[in-house]
Amino acid sequence: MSLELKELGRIVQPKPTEPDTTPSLRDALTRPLETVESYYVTAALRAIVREVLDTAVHRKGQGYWIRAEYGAGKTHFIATLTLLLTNRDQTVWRALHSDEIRRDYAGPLQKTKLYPVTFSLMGTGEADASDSLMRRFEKEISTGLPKELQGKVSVLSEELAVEWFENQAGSRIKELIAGHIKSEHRTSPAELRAKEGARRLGAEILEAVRAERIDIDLKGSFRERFAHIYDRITKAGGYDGMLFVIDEFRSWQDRHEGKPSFEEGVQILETLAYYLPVEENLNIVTIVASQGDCPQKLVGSGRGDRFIVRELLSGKEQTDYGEIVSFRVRDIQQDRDIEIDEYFTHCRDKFRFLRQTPKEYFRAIFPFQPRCFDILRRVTQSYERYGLPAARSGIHIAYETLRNDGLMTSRRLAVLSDLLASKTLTAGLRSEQFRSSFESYQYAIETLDMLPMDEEERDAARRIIGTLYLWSVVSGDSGRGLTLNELAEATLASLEGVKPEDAVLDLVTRLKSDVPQIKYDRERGARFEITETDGKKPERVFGTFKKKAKTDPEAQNKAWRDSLFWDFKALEGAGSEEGFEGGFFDGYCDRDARGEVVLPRTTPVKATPSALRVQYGGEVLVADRWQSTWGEYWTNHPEVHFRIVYLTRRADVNRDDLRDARIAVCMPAEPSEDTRENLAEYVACNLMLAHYNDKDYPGEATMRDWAKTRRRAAISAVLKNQIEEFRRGTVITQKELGLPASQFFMTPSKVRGKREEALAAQLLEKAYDRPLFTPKDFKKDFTDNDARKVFHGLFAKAQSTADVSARDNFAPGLGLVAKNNLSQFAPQAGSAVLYIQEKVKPAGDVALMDLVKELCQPPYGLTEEIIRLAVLCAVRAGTPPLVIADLNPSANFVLTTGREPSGKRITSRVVGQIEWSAKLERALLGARVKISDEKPFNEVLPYAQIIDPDLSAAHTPDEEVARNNELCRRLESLLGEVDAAHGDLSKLAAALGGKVDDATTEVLARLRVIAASEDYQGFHAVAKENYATPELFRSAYQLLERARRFNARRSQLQLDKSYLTAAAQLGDNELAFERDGLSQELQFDALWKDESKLPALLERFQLWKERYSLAYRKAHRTQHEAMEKLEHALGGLNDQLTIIDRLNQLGLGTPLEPRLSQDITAMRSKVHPCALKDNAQVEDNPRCGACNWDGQTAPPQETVEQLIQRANDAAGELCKRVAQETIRKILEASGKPDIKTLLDMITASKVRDLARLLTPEMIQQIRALLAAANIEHRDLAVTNLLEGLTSLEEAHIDDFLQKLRKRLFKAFDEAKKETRGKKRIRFFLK
Amino acid sequence: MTLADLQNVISKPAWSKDVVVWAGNAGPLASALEGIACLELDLLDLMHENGSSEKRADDLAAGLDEWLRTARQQQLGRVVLVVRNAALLARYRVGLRSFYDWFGGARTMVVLHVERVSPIVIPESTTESIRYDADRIVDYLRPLLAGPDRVFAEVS
Repeated sequence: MSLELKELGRIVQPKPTEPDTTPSLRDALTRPLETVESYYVTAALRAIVREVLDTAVHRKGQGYWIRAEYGAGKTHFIATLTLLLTNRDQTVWRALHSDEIRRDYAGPLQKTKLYPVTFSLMGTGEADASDSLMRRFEKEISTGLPKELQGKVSVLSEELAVEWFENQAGSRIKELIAGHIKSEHRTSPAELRAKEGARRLGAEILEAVRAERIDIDLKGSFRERFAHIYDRITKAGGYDGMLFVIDEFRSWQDRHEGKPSFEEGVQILETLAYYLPVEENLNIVTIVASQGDCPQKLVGSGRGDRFIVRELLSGKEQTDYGEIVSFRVRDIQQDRDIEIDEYFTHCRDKFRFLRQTPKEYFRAIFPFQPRCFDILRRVTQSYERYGLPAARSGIHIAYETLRNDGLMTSRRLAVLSDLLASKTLTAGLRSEQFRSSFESYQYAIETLDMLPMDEEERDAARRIIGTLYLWSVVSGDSGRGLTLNELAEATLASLEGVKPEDAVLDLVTRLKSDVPQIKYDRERGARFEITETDGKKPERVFGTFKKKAKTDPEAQNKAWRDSLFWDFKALEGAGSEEGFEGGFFDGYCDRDARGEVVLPRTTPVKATPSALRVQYGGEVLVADRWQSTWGEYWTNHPEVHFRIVYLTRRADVNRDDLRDARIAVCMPAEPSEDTRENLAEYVACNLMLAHYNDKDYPGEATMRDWAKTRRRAAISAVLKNQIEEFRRGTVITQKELGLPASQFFMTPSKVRGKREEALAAQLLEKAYDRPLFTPKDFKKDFTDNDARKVFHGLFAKAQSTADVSARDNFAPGLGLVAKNNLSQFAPQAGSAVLYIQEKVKPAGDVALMDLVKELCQPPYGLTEEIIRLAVLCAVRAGTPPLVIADLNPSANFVLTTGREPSGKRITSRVVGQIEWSAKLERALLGARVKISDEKPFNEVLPYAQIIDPDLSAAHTPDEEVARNNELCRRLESLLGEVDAAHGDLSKLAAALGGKVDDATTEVLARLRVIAASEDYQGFHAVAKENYATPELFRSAYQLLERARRFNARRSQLQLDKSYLTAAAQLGDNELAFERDGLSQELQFDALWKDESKLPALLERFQLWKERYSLAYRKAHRTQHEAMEKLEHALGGLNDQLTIIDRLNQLGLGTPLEPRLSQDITAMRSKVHPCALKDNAQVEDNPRCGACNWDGQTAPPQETVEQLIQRANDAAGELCKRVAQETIRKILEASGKPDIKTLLDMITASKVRDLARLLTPEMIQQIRALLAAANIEHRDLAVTNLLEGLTSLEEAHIDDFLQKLRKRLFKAFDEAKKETRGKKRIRFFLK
Repeated sequence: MTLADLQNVISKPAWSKDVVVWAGNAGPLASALEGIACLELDLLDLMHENGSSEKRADDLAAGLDEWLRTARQQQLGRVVLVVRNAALLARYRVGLRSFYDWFGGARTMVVLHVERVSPIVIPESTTESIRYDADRIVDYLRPLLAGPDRVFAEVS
């Protein structure tokens, strides 16, 4: 295609995300903008949309039956239609891709308001199993009601029943139904509704009317029911019609076909589409979408008659499908019309196919060649027959085609063969029906790839094969192919300077000869014919792969390297007869995340040379090439006694690189022809298996099986080649040992896994020619674990049988015992023990690691474990006295006593307390072997006997151990004693008002450090450092004993001190003086300095306490006798209080002393005498336990007298009020004798009698008399009357009186107003 | 339809409102779904203990609808929803509509897992009054699917 055409990617772009082709109605309606915006309205669709919208605008009800094949876009169509009919949002209308519809209907539809009922019948299943369509309609209407209509519109039968019950049912029927509900549920209808809702009540009412055989109006017919619903909804919601949209009707049809319920469904739809809109003139629009045909009964003859049937993608409109698909899958970039037109012109001029194609259609489907949609439509229309994707899948296929690499960068239209890049399409073509043809197509492409062609030709040829293949799939006439012109147009194949059809002829002619599937003759055109795969023998196919493998030495080398590391699984059973379980280096490699072998790799191994009888550690190093560093010494790795280096291929190795005699380098010979052949065979099998993989060639299992069988044979051969190549290879050692490779590299059955062991034995037996042990005296091979057992067998207190056995097997050979006394440790000449002793003696200090480095090397041949054993034995031997010092503290090594070795050292004395463990081995890391500088126990005895006089001298090592243990036990207890003494002494000091002095604290701290010593050595060192002589240490220890004595008296001293502090002040100066003296002397600081004062002081305290006790008890009794009197006096005021209380109730002025009674009660509780008045106990506490009298507080005599005075005064004042002339006259006028008696008593001030007479009844009588006299008693403050009248001269008396008079009158006027003039006012001047 | 047929459906690049029933054990289903992004829903998690059978059915339907609607909004990409204890849909006659409304798409598919019911022998004395219907669950679901070929069963 011409270079001036722009790349497709600069004109169009696939949609950023794959289009959603399977919307559900419900989901689509929740996303109005997206739904409308993604809908493409073709001319044919536009006509249907206009028809429906017209119906709504003119408010004429009508039914529409939208039929289309599966996946043709019914749901998207009716969802868009629903949104246009009911959604007034202008943004939704703006999103519509049809200016014409927007222009004609956006405005008019704003004036309509349809109530939508939309639902899909796919997957519906009723709870009551009836699956009734009417029930479904009811539920959808009911659940979709907006909030403002809920409760106002009854839709369900249950709701209608409730409405009937509450508004229409008569009282007798209501009673019947209520009775029924009561008997069933023990509740009333109202309660049932409140508790479980109206629907439940409705259900019960329906149940009740059925049981009681009552007829109720439930709008039984569909017509009545829908008319009722329509009426309620339109009126209550202000709607001018209803819109019913039902999707997936076919689903319901299928379930009910042939059943009575099907007829019910038809009746319902007839009601909605005919009876109600036509006969009752209700504005109901019903849209049903279905894959199925409209039932004959529902098909109308035209507008106004049942359902108008409309079909989507019916096939009449040939261009719809391409337009819709293109619209959904790509976006055209802005202002690219010219570029598209250039494509149009180019294709029209060069190819014929556009001469009948309108430019608008070319634009609408750009960048697809129109024939793409002819084929796509045929494929998708046949989806049920062929199991190919449905109509909607065309969108996926087109989308995947555009997303395919390369198309967007090309300068041609997408053609038929490009569709084969779609996974969706190829998945369909791989289905059972098409599998053989698709595989045939794949073979054709494979063949094409092997043909000598330039890339442009190959690309065109690929398009030709793809196009012919697809044509063969969809063409009804298998014998008819495509003409050269058709093929040129369909593929847009062209070669520079050649006419398209000539270019196609040239390519087809070549393909015809090389690709058996392509046929061509002038009569029938170019064709793709399926060739049977039976003729394709694996042997023939394999030849291609083998040829490739033979010419690829890199692949063979890689196979060789990989083969060396095959594991058992990789062998696939090959080589089992020869005993192969893996490749030559199986187990000697790591693999990365991709499974590739990672080299170099070192693997630890073990070997036990028969001449040495010791198991040695070593390493096998596998690498692709030699590194000189591998020949160097490795003294820092004493555990490695040999190194075997395997190279995967031949290399130059300089023998001088090998510094250590214990290294062997093994390498194979160059691969022989036979090896190369077998490797090529293996590679070819893998190529064939990769090609005929299960995904691309699911039907070629036979081919794969053949290749796998062949590969197993190749594997078996390669395994043998590996042995052969290494046998022909070389083993290089430092000392030219002349190790023949053929001796070591044999078939697995001969080597039996001992290949490295045999090599190592050769190396070590030569290297370790002066071992510090006698191998022939070993009764078994010595392993690492045996060192521990031998040690325990020699020194442990409790030995196991294994320990004893190991000792007997190895101790003589190691020179640790004499051959005639196996149980007695006795180092022998020539042993490692003596060697070590001799090594340390002159140096005085040798690092254990240095010993290891030296003795693990040639010629000694010791292992680390043997050296550790020998060092411990050397220490235990005692001559010369050795210790292992500087034990690694982080090892947490402890002796069998549970303690850490003193000073981080292992001495001869503690060897018997060692259990050989991993901790011991860690502790020895970094340790040193030294000549011992320890003191004997008897030197420590003068210090030790100070803290434990029972300790005696030690005369033997065992006695030394025993004494040491005794001392350690004493030190342990001493540590606790020091801590306790210090703590208690501090508390005592605080209680006695002092603190422990610094000197004492220091002594105790020093004692603590000494007590923390772990053995006698440590004890002596620390004690001597703190106290240069035993005498000084003794005096320090005596301070501890003093502290213990003080602490023994701590409780008593604290009690005495607190007794003195809390003692009462009894006014006895002598007692007080002595108490102060005692308190001062009972101070910690003084007593601690002079302990001798303590007994005398405590005796004096006892004497003082006796005298104090007597004095306190006497004073306590006197105090409470006085209190008793006061209590009695207050008790005598009861009559006065009665009079005050009662007369205050008469309302003769302000009440007097209203709180007096409470005050007296409170005081009585205060003067109540102590219960222990005569028996106060002050033995433990210095004050009475009952009243806690402090010795100073006196009885409240004065306060009590004041209360008595207040009572008498108040009672007298109140009596005066009653006795006043006015009151007296009123009371006397009653003529009642008891009133007269009362007045007499008041006059005579007979308080006691008066109190008795003033009963509540008497008070009531007097209040009644006073009320009858209509007198209101009020207080008048004199200070208020005289306010502002601060001075007076004789000349102004009249003015003064005048003002006073006015104020008095004013007070009376106000009082009268407040009493509304109904009472006489009497003021008490205050 | 067998497990292999189910695998064919699952492996399709684009689904087409595929709501299917798997009547069998979980193991084969898991192997069929290997390599496919899956979402699991156990209907037992949506069940409420209280209330009448009708109330529980209503609650299950509402809970399921809400769960699926929320899942739909999460833009999960290509995913298979595996519904455990799908027998509850039949027990409470809830239907499959919510699955079609929210989860039947080109990139979303639903597998309703109905555990295989082991055959039991009805005592002869009760055969007159008790009928054992091992297919009851699947029989309820089958007509609610897009087609009878949407039921896949484990071949024993």
